[in-house]
Amino acid sequence: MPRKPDRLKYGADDVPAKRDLLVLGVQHFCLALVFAIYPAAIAQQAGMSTREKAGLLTATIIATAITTFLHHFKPPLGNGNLTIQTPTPIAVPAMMQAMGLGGLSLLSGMTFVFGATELAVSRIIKYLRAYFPPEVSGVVVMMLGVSLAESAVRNFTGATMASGVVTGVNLDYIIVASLTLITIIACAVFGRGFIKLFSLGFGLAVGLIASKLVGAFATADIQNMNASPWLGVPSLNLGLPTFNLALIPLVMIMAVIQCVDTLGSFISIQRINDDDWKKLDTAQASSGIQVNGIGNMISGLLGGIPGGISSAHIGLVMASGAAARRVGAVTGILLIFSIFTPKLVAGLSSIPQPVIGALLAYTAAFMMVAGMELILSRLLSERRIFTIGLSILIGLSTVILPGVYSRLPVLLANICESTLAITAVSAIVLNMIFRIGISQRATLQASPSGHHYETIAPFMESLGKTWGMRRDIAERASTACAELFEALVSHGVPEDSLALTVEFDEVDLVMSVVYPGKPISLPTSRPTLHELLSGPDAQVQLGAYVVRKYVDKLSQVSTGDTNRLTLRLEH
Amino acid sequence: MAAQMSELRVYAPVGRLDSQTAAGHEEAILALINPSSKGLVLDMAGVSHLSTAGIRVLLMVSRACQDAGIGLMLHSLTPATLEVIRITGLDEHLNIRLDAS
Repeated sequence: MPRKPDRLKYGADDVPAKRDLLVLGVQHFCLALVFAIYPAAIAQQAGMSTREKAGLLTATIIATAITTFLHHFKPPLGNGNLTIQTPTPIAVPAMMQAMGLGGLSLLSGMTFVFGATELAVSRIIKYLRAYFPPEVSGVVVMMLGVSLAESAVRNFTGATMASGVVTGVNLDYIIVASLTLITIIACAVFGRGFIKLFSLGFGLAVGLIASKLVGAFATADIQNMNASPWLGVPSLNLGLPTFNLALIPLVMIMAVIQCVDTLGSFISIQRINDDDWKKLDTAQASSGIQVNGIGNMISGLLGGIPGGISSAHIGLVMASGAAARRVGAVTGILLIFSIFTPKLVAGLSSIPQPVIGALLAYTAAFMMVAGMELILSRLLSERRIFTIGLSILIGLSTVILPGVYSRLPVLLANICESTLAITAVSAIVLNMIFRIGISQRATLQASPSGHHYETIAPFMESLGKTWGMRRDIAERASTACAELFEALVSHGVPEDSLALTVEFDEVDLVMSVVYPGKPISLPTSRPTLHELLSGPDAQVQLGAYVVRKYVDKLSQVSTGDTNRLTLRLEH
Repeated sequence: MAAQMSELRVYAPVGRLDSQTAAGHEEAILALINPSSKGLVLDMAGVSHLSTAGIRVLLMVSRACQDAGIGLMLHSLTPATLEVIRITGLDEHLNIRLDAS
């Protein structure tokens, strides 16, 4: 049972007052609209007509609205938390590529593939994590930022190109884009509370005003916005989706990266909801990823782009102190209503080029740093350093020497010529290669001096570096094992007969201790204060109880005079 | 490791507080408990590792302070030290002050 933190006014299952529900729903709705920037950027890059742009936005909003609404139900229908679905930047480069290769029908098909991949891996994502450890995901996320850079700079400067060479830039665009970016940065760096949270929204507002002043709005978009009614039936770009074999691997990899990212979002939201949070509730996460997959398949069928759980909204949950899942239902309903306001959709699809440039520049910078953070979240060994360095180098080779892979067979060349695809494939393959030959099993003899923590902690840290363990898992393992050794010694087990065996497979860290004599009891409840003060036996019980609290699974098998204790930590 | 500040007695354990060191610390702290003093403060900033054996010492000291009619306060606990106490659920029985002031 989660322990609701004091800072939360409304926990996940609380029912807020009607007024609060509406106000919170409107806040999440407004923040969600800002993310229309991603479909708008894809539309801008592809040079879509105003009608096509509106169709793309409408489809994406419908899908995110349905998904957001579904998320508020408890598993298996939803995930039972306040999580808001928004268009995901992770899919933007692949979707831009899809638009370039096959237009709207291919974009629809690739969004469908993205969703289908999420649905397929939703139940096995835990096991796929071995192939997508943080350094692999981090490299891909960093290169996502690099992939967005070209589009960001081109829109930011309004650069015109001829034969791959810049022939001119638009000074008005640079001024508008700079004002937009400065506003976002100022709000994000110097702002507090809602100003910080809505930094993208404030930047967007300043960018729109500046665009109006310098005339950066496209005339056709203005005419479309003026002609659009306040209320009306939404239009969609319905058509049969098409598929491109060369693009499918990239889209599938991005979908898995999105799933891994979603696991991170669930860790954040579950931590917000539970002061006693210890490990990821995989039922919630799997169900959430499943709903995301279904939502993105719907988005594909309607002609939209993929979405994902928004970390900005998780920030809003934290700042507002309201994590009630019913707020998600209200947000979903508001998003659905919004598509019946063609003027709003036309307004969102008319975001001018320099404003898109500034928002993409912000996103690109943010993703590059987020990728670096992910890379550094694990203890690094030489093998992992090479995995990271070489895959970035291989990815950058397409930027440094465009066309370097053009002589490969067509299907392979298409993958290799994409900075993102070749980086992702290189990181995955190098990770698998560098795992070869690493012993995933190690043993430590107990210290005869009795200084168990001082022996076990450096041993675990060293293994953590070699195996790429999460820092917090290595620390929890050290504390649990030291506590177990103390409890066993107090139980009467000779120190020289104690040895710890550790095994790691990216999914689980398994520690086992074999010891002779009478088996130690493993209580599920803590000894009382009175028992603890009465005698040393209760301290052994307390030690075993703490070990149980530190690990995800604790079991003991006794055969004759020998006992085997197994401690399992999910990674 | 021990100091007297006006009527408050302060004890600052350093290093590990586990089964190897528990008995020594327990003896030293119990010797400081005096019904005529205002109270006892344990400055935990220097504790690098706290095991359940150490927690039991804290409980024994807390009981002894109660018996002597004086207050006990633990302060400057590191996040790791605080976590292990919270995991046992025994933080309710110990007067823990989170800031160092």
